[in-house]
Amino acid sequence: MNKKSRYTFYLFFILFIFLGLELVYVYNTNGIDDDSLLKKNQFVSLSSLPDLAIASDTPYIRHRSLANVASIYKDDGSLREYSILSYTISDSKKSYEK
Amino acid sequence: MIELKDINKIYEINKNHKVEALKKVNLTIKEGELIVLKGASGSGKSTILSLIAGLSKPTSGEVIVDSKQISKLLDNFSSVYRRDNIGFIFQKYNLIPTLSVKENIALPLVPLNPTTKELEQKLDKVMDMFHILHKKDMIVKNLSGGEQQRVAIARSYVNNPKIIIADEPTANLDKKLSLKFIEILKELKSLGKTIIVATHDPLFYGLEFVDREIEVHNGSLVL
Amino acid sequence: MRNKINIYLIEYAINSILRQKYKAIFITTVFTLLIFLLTAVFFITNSLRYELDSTVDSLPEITIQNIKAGRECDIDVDMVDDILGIAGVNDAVARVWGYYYFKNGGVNLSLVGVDEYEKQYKKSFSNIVEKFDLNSKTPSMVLGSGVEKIFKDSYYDEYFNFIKPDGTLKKVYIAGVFDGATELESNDMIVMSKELLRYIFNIDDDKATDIVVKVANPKEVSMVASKIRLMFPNTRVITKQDLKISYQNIFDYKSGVFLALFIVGLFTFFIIIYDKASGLSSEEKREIGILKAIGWKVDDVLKEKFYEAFIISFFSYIVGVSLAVGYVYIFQAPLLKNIFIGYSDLKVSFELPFIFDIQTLVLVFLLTIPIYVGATIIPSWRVATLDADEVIR
Repeated sequence: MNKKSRYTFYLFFILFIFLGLELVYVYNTNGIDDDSLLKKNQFVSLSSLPDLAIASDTPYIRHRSLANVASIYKDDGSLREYSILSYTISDSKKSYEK
Repeated sequence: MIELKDINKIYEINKNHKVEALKKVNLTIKEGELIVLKGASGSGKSTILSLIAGLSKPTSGEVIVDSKQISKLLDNFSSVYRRDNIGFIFQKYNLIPTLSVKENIALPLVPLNPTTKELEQKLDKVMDMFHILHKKDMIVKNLSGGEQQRVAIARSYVNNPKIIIADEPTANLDKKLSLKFIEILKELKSLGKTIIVATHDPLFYGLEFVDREIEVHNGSLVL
Repeated sequence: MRNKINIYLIEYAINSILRQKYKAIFITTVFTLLIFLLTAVFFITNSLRYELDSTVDSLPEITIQNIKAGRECDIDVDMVDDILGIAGVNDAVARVWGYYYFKNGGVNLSLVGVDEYEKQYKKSFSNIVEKFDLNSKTPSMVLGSGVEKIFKDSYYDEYFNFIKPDGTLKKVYIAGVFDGATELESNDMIVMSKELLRYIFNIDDDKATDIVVKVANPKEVSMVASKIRLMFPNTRVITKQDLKISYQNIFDYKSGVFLALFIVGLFTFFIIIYDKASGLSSEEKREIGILKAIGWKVDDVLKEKFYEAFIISFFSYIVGVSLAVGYVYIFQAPLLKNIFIGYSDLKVSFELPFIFDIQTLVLVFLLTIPIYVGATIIPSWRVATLDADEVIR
């Protein structure tokens, strides 16, 4: 193998090692283990509020299920026509079929 | 043995413009012969060479080499035929300028995937034979014209072909280097190779080791 | 001869790439950037989706909200008894919760009232709260870590003064902070007793924000929901399935916004591809002609071109993915994260959890590398199948 090829292989090898180390690092620092998962579920049972503490836009705050009905029409493309008393498009059909 | 039977070759430049490069060419070349094809530029010499090498196909007629119909070979078989039987020295050498001498000469061997030992042996032998072993790691574009030509010859020879074809080999060389090339040709003939040279360089005319000189004029052989 | 991978072809491919250094660098840079963007977005969505998917089953099966004149309003607590009477209902609880705007911190906080005597909460409470002081002064509350930080910045270390609707203050002591593991769920949350929350928000005892219902058999949920709708036509009944669908929709929508931006980048990439695919330069064509003239088959030429394309694209892939991992999980995806969580300043910050999803990596690989390899091989194949003589001349 000539010099250039050898260096290319070394480069790929180093990249792989770097990626592997990076993944191990983020797994150890940001990873979710079973204990964390249990705590998350316990908390959600406690608060029973859907969605995460991040919600997309201020009007919905936590989740659009908790938002004022009218504000939903603002900008979420998936929430067009549905009955006030239903929630999703599929559901609005279901409730009347039953 | 090489046979060209009733060869016609027409190049279609565009719909309305066709060029008849060869007209009813019949030629037989025996094994071990050194043939010089002479004629002006555009006479059809290079076309004959490319037909024998399987680089192109005739419009009609047959090219037969050692009883095999070269003109009817499929592309991949044609490449294998060239790899195993032909050593082509191009007019402009057609080397890869950014590769080294060694890498250029090794190119015909690459698809065969030889062992490192086999490859080194063949390369060293051929580089030594054409006196460029001392420049094996030099990049080709940094070589002189004569050195580049020796690389081109070495590349054509590395697979030990039966037939060596040279298209205007001295077009870019001075007299001294041209004579050196003629010496190499003589050596190759002594090794029993069948050699076909297309040239309009008068240095090739009247040489004693040349078996035949064939004139090509306007796509036909002058007999 | 050996039947293994032809290392000489790979060497030739590497030489070929280095011969056109600047072109290779340009293509690699654009390609890496595209892969980086695509992977980063997938990583962000995966992390958020995973959190949602793994916790959604802990949510109540049915949530009932009262609608008056098309708007959500408080619900009567009496309805709980009627709902408990429906067959299949395990439990029904009136919830009190809301948003509190903390002006100094510039954030909206989610306040949730829990009745500490309700059976399902007591045991799990202690597990999820760090530094929980059972003997703290009353009234007390437990904060999410984001809230604790916001309060600390405003010097509220031990207590906080809520401003009631009538303008009076209510001092509430900080009894604990939720465990870091629950950050994504609890970050903006304050949990206190229902009674206290009613007092702060001035909600009457016979009213609640909504009612949550637990159904023992998941298959009966839609039937119970229908019954509730019939019993109380003025309510909105949301099942867990509805929540799952809405999560899906939200991410699809946000992903759609991103996709629009990504298409611009992809467009650049396709211009490069088109340039490659529309034909090789005369130099490249000549090189293929020379290789064929000296005995290379079409297969050999294509194999070499494949190695060339694969080396560039795979290098870009590894670098792009590595950059995305660092950008999303170490630097927490600045700018890009906002596309998914909004640009509002009213949100407390949080960390994206790392999810190793092999499907994402395979998807990115398949979306990018084969296209580039194909775009390289196809024009080479076109040239390689011509007569070598034609190509050299």
